[in-house]
Amino acid sequence: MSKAIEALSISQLGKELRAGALTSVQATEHALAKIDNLNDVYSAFITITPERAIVDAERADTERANGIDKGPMHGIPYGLKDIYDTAGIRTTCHSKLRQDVVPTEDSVCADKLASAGGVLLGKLSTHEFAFGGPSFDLPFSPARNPWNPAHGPGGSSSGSGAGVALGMMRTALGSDTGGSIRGPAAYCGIVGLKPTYGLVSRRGVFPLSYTLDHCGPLSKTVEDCAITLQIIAGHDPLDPASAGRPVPDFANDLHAGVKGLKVGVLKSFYEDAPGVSPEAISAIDEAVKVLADLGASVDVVPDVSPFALYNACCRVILLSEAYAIHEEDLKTRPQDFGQLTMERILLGGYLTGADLVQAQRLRRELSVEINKNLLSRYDVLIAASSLSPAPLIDEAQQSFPETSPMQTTPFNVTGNPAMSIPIGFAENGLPLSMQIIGPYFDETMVLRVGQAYESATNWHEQWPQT
Amino acid sequence: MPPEDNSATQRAQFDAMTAALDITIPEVGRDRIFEGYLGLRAMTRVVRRSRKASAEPAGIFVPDTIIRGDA
Repeated sequence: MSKAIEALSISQLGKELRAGALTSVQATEHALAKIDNLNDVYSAFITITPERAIVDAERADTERANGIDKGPMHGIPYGLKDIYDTAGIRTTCHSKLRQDVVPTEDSVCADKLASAGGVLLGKLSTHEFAFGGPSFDLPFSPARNPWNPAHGPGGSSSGSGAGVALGMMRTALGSDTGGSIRGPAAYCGIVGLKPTYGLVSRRGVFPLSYTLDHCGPLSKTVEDCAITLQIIAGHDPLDPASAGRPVPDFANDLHAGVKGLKVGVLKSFYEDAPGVSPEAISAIDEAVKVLADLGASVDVVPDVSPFALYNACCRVILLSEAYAIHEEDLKTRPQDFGQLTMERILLGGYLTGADLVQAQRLRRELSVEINKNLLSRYDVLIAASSLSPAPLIDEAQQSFPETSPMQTTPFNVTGNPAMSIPIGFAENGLPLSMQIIGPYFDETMVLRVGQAYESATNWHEQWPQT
Repeated sequence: MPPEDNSATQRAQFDAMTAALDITIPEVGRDRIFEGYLGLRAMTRVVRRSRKASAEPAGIFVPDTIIRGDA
């Protein structure tokens, strides 16, 4: 084996395991050593579970020796954002309010990954309750950017992004309510996929906003992402939003290329947005040119509502729902929230029922715009993920920032699958990114376009110097 | 769209709503939350559009019912 273990994709590592060139215990010990070496600086993990990991790995090795093959995640290390319930392992939401909570049952996604033979390394840092951060007044340190620890890794799935980018694991789960998978993926230079609303069960995952929450993977490559999604997707009758439809093989068209596909670029969202960096714009221009050179037909979308309309719709719904979830704790123990989280969630209390209904009416109209008006003409849409590279981690935070450094909220509003992929580096060495957005339940198309771009470039082969 | 109220009126509305929420807000964060409140009120104006009550049958969000190319 010539490559470092972390440089092996999930499928490559699986081949090594099946060939007997490597054991799952060896791969897991390598991952645990890396975590031990780096976690003090980057704080990707809140809780490391070495005993559980070794037990999982030994079981996978024994099963394989006995001819049992559970599929592509069998014996592969992974991590979970610390809002996913794990039986017997504390699930803190990175908050004082839940720092001692030990669930008795796994979340659906945790159960599916365990059943698929995965090796749980531990629970990953998040912004408190997947919302407020980065913060320094919480019981656990915030995760830091792998490319420069003076910068933030994005949030809220900050540990998932940092841990994967650092090579602690090839894949991790995050959650995305306004961009919390795609944001860390963008800032950390990895792949993050928010699936279609309803594709992945949220049961057992602490909610932020019931109608905007999505579970999904953050992974080193598009293929790693597809493999992880394959495990966690599927109908759950106990999640009311779960879609009762068959799950396709996400790897089916992975290498089908983009020749003949129609790509629409949502340039009006980002080209004049406050705070957009020229580097971000030119990187997207270059990435789109790569797709065009590969045979895609690329147009700038001329007729889409302003980003601000989508963003306002998301914020009103998110804050209303988040406030409802946290209302009791805000009344009875507000001092136990981090200051920033408390300020942000509290704002939902000032919204009225009419505000929420008007936002939901708008939500349907915007969903129609993206799906009936645009995705009837284009196979995928392209947008910015972040408008600039990651900011300094201690940059002052506002309780209600007027402008957003991310352009991810529109697809939480509409529920479309959206994936952030790395497309280069800024002059300061921090990653740049773009989003690929597809039709409902057509993650296969999103992954296909992402894979075509990734195969034509080498950003996914870069690693931070640690 | 109605003109912006002056900030004294808005502050009074904010203080009244804060009292109604029955939540203890530390003095140190109160001004920051008020700034956020102003931003949020602006967004609630953005999400309001001119529509008739019968413009849609119901504001229910069901992705399966929104298919690309459908009439």
